[in-house]
Amino acid sequence: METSSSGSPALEALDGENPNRRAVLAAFGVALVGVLIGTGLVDVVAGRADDAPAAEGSDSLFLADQELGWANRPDWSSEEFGVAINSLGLRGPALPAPDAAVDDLRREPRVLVCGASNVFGLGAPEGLTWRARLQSEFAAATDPAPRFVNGGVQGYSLVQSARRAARLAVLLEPDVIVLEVFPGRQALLDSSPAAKWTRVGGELVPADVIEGWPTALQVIPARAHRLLMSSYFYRRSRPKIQFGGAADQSTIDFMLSDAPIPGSIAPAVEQARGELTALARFCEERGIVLRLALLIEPRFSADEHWNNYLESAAERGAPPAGTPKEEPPAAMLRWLEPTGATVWDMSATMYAIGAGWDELVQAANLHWSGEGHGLVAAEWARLLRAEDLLESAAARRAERPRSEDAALGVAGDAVLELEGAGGEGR
Amino acid sequence: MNFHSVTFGVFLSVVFSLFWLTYRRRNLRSAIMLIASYVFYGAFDPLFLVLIGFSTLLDHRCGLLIHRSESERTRRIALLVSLVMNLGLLGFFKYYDFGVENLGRLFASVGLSFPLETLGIVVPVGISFYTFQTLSYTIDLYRRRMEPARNLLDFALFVAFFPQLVAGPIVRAADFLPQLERPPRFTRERLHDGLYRIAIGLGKKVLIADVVGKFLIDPVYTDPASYSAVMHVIVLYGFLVQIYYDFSGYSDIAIGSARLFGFDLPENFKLPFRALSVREFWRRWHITLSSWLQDYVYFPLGGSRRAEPRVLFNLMVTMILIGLWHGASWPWALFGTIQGIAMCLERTVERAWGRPFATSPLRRFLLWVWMSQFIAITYICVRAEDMSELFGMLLRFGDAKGFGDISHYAWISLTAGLALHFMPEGFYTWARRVYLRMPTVLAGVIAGVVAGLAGYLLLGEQPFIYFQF
Repeated sequence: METSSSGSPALEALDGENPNRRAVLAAFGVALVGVLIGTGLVDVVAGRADDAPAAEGSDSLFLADQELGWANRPDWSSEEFGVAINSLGLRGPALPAPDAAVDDLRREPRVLVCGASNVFGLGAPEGLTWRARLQSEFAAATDPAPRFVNGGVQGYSLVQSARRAARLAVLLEPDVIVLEVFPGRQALLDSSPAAKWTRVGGELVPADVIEGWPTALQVIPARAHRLLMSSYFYRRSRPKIQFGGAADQSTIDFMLSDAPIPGSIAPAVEQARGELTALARFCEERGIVLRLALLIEPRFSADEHWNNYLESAAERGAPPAGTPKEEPPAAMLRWLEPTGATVWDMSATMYAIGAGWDELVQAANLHWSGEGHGLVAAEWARLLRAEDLLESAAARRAERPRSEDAALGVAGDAVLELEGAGGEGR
Repeated sequence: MNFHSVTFGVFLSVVFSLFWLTYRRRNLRSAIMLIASYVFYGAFDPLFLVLIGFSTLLDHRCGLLIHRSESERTRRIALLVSLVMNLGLLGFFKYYDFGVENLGRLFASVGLSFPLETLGIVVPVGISFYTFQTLSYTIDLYRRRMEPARNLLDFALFVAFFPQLVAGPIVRAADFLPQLERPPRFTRERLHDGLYRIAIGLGKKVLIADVVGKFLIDPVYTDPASYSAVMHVIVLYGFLVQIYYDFSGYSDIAIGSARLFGFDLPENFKLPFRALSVREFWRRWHITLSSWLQDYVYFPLGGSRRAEPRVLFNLMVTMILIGLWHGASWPWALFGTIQGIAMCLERTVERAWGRPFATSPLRRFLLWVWMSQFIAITYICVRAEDMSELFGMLLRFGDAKGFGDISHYAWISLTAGLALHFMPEGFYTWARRVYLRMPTVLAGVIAGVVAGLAGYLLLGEQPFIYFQF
């Protein structure tokens, strides 16, 4: 029999036909300790080596938000990616600018655009985003110059974008709100119910962490969560646990079309429309112009990509084979009608981006490149001009300037009372 | 419950502790393993337990009848009941929809309507594996090659033993049941060996198979027009790497997990892409399936002791069954047929040649090149769900548009997968020997590093490919 090199007398009792139970468990325990050490080593090394920001860590772009699930962290910046978040959690320059006159801030037309990662400008340097381009193009359009505000947050659904738009509307009193809508799963199947945050013993924790636990015992998973947050693996897998893990695999590639909406996701789709309806009413009551920008997936400009998607995602929520690629935007337009909001159909622009894919889309992350942002900005500029939205906003503000708090963006947390928006999280 | 999940790690640890705490009481330790196996299997779908429970009761009863009866007629009827019921259930769950769909098309082509409709049946996970196991039990009892299970508990554990329940290796009752009779062995080497196989399997699955699948195979097959013909050829070999490391990784984890409980499972793979002939390939790939079919189909048909045309027929039948065992589709039938034809040709050429061919390094290399191409091309059938998809995949070779954008992870894993496969066999012996001799805590650390790397790259717990069979 081979000599044991375990170094532990208890483990010596293993090497026989009739092993001591305690020795077996001790050996397994030693092995498990080793496994934990090994895993921990990788956790530490990977955490230090990986440049990706932790999902909920203090160095992350994202911040836990009880109402929205997550939001941009104020005053966060990354020179590497050319991203700077101002003190209000908006990508772009500080608001107000240090040398800005309050009177100008009260009278400037403000255009707020909310949406997900493309609106945020993922991967595009600030100077090339739609916001910077529109700011430059309309610099002399009104006096004072209009202000374009980027309200985009990566990963947002329609519900989250609409809630954020309403919150920012109270904070900044914009004149025009443009909200990105698209017929895919991310927009329509809101993940924020899973991302809701709740307080346990005064501490904010994701609701899914304590889900199913009796109130008296909720402190246990909450503490465990806090402890585990020191693990890079755990932090990294949180979004998957929160969203991916809860996702219905049969709808993972859901795309709105004329096909019946599966019963399992119909409530989520309806919740998204309810939130838009509430936002439309909210804007109407405050004299804010709301435009829904229908931005479809540019890759589907090519028939072969569309057909491949239909084929490969047939069992995961894609429309039936043979569905024309124009059907989702058309269905989306009909689906949006009850909200009462005006829609800017930007399908042609998206198809143009798809046609010029190599230049207009970033290969690394499949989001609009700087040139792609240029195309979107040009279309938005055309639509703003076509409806004289900036001029009419300037005239309105000349008569009735916004409040000083809103001009300076210091209105504090807005309490949202959006009627008609159903679903969890309200 | 996937092997490569934290849940399974916790499950394995709990079952391990309970098993070894009670291991001196034979029935109690078997009962714990059986309950654990049913929990494991029920986690896929509790309804599957009804089916496996039915098969267990039926074959246990048939086995007793076969063993106890002196009447040859009774024994035959009991065997027939076992065969008909097991193959009937397997046929219904796995082949009913396929049969009805194709008969419907056939009838429609002559203007008739077929009276039955497809049912959209969900194939119970692992049914192909445990059906073959229970069949081996009743057939071996009928042949009087083994004693029956001591009791229903032992037999139920043989059928449902969780490490190999859903994707093999296919275990014979004659190999497994005797292991229940003797006290389980546990030595430090066995603990290390179990950890070693689990770590190797986890690494194969997550670090190689999933990465190659996610970053190379899926992108190209999802959007084939965006990739060049060269990429499609690379993907042929990449898919071999993916499916081999996926399946053999599962087998490694199964063997390693069983070893922790003192059980020895048969090896299922032996570096298959080193094979120099189709026959050798099937001695290295999914060994427990090909040996099962050899013992229970090929030999009963007469094996190679008949006239040459009959031998070729036997080979064809066996290989077509291998194809159809995997899946109810024409590509799988085609796969089996091609393997069968190749094996028949190989046998015919060998007999005509009259002496060994692989007698020099150059000849062995030529044979290896031929085999690599043959296996890579025929395994495209495994990927296709139907013939139109198969033809589509073949026709897309002409769409040359560029090299595509493939993650460097895929290239690293593909290269590592190929390099590891062709390492000298002495390397594996040496690595295992070093691992078995090191201190337990260090063995754990190494397994933990592999688990950590797997966790780092874990891509949404891709299910094992062979679960579908």
